[in-house]
Amino acid sequence: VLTAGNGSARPGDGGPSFAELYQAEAAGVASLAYLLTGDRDLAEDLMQEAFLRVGSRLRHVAPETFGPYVRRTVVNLVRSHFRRAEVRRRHAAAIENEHDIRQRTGEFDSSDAETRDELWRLLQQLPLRQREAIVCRFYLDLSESQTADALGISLGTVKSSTSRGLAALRAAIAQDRAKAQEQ
Amino acid sequence: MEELERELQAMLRHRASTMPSSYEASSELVGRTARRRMTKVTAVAGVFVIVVAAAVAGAIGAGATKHRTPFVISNPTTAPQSSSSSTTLPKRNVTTTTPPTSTPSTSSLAVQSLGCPTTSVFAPFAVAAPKVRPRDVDVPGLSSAERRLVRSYVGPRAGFSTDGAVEPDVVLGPKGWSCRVYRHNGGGAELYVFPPSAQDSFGAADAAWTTSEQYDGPEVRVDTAVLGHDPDAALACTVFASDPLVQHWVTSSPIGGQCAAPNGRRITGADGTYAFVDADGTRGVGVMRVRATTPTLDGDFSIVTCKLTGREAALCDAILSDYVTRYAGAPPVIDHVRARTGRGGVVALDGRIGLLHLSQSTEADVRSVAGAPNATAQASFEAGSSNATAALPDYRALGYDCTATATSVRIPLVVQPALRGPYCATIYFINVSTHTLAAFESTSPNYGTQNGTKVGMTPDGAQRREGHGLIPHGCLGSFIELGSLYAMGQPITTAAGIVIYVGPNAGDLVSSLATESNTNPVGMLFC
Repeated sequence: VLTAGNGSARPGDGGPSFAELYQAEAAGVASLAYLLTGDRDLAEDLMQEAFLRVGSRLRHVAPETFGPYVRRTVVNLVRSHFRRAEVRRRHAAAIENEHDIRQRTGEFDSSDAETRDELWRLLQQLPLRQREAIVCRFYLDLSESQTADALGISLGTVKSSTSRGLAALRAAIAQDRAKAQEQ
Repeated sequence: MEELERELQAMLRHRASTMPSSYEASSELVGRTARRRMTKVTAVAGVFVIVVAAAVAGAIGAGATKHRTPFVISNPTTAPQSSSSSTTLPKRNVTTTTPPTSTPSTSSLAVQSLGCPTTSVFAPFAVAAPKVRPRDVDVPGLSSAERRLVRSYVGPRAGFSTDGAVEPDVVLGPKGWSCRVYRHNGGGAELYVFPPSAQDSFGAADAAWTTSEQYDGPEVRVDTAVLGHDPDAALACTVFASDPLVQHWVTSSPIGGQCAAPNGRRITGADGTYAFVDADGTRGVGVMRVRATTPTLDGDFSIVTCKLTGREAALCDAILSDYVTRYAGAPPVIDHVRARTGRGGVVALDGRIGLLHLSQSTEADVRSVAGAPNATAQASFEAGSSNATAALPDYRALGYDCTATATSVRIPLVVQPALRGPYCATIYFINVSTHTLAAFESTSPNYGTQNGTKVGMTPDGAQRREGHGLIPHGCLGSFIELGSLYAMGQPITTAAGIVIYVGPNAGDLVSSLATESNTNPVGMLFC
């Protein structure tokens, strides 16, 4: 929550400073990037880049829209990164490193953790657009229209992406569990 | 909310909680943000200065000529031809043209030659005068007394530093005078030959750029510029306004505006060689050099202005005639765009890629210009594009100069959902929805921006040329961004965006040049 400046003030014109805006939004943006990429280091890099980009346009961004701007920026950065081989390799490596993550979070033997882990792995396998829609809807708690704004897509695409993503997850979970029962 | 959705919510929040709960903006990030903001302001200011300078120049020109009577160009053979595509530019035959100012002569004379020091806006910023040998010239119609009054002045012609070589420009002038060349960012050059009394106007300091343009005394001046470099279109119009090639250039350029000679200037000539006389008696010639077989703006043009007084006034005929004899009809030495094969050219923010045009050219056009591709593929820049919800249209990639295995100078035809060869030096991306050219990337140094940035240049050189800073860890890697690729609510102002890639390793050179339509994208440069 921004504590400095009023709704109409613009950063640099007496509104909150870049550092204040950064402090208010950075953690959320980094988390969003992490949920979309599955890679902590990459997420922080993208978060920094997003702030760098939006920060360079501070005079054109009202404080109340800074958060949506920087979130959309990080989504765009994620999309771009997924086109690059190096990032894809890092992404794959991050998924493979789940064992390490589970150990760090102390959940290795928890059944809840296994479910979360399975969901996390399946989420990362979804097409990016579906993953974006699900993260916006269920992590950021954005409405469908807010998600459409954040992702720069139509309301209909948000609905279909979310629906298809959930359907794909259900199908994948059922398939995984069927395999587990067979074994 | 269903069970799966609740589990998703819990999983996402748990995952997010493993990230740090707060971040402090480092001083480095704040500094980088401020510098980037400043870079944008500087770039805008640069454009503003250019616009103001052009306006001032126009006002000065209008003020100086407003009392003159207009003159209608009488040569009907140079009537403009309409054309709507960059692939239908009028061809020009390269033939030796009779100098419009005098008749050829075989009388030859060895004259002393003087090299001109050069000041540039790009490195090397100052080049000392080269030593040049005396040269033999034809000086038709000169008396023996007049012959003793001429000297040869030598400096660089227009050209981009990445052309690898700069062709010399040679012009006669009065003996005992000095000379200096100023080279512009866009490849243009101004060679001034001026009397000793005007030394103060032609120094090496920055201010001399301005004072030289305001200088109004006796001089021989040669303006050379690269054809197709849009900021120089207005200069070309001052002499070549009736030339079909220049007419086409101006009407197809994003600069737009009218192409007309200054009031009071009488122009004669055709086919790239013109002579003019101003109302105040100043005389000059214009010489355009275009490749014979290339239907494109590949070449350069020169405008020589001779403004002499006293006993030297009679030298203008010889000076102008010598220049026309030397350059008219000769093909340009430097191939600025290498468009003859279709495997090169200028990549511009208006969407031009050599002879092709983003959002206009079709696959057939690409094949017509660049030949049959070595490899093709259909894919998307978005993972899971087969899904009906995909926002990005599929592209059809046409690859040239391809190999089966990856190399550092080749780009994969397909990047999603995984990199896939063949790997090509140049790829054209056709939007399968619109069937038009949507994007392009090449690691070939045959392509360059309007400011002359090409693959193989140093990042510093590219930044200086483009007036844009390097984004060292941007979303596309390390790159220089031109145009409005990343508008974020800002109005898109250019037809295309251009990314000049550097790297991927520190110390690397410019590695590829990419451009994508802002109106017909496939997502190659989405960021």
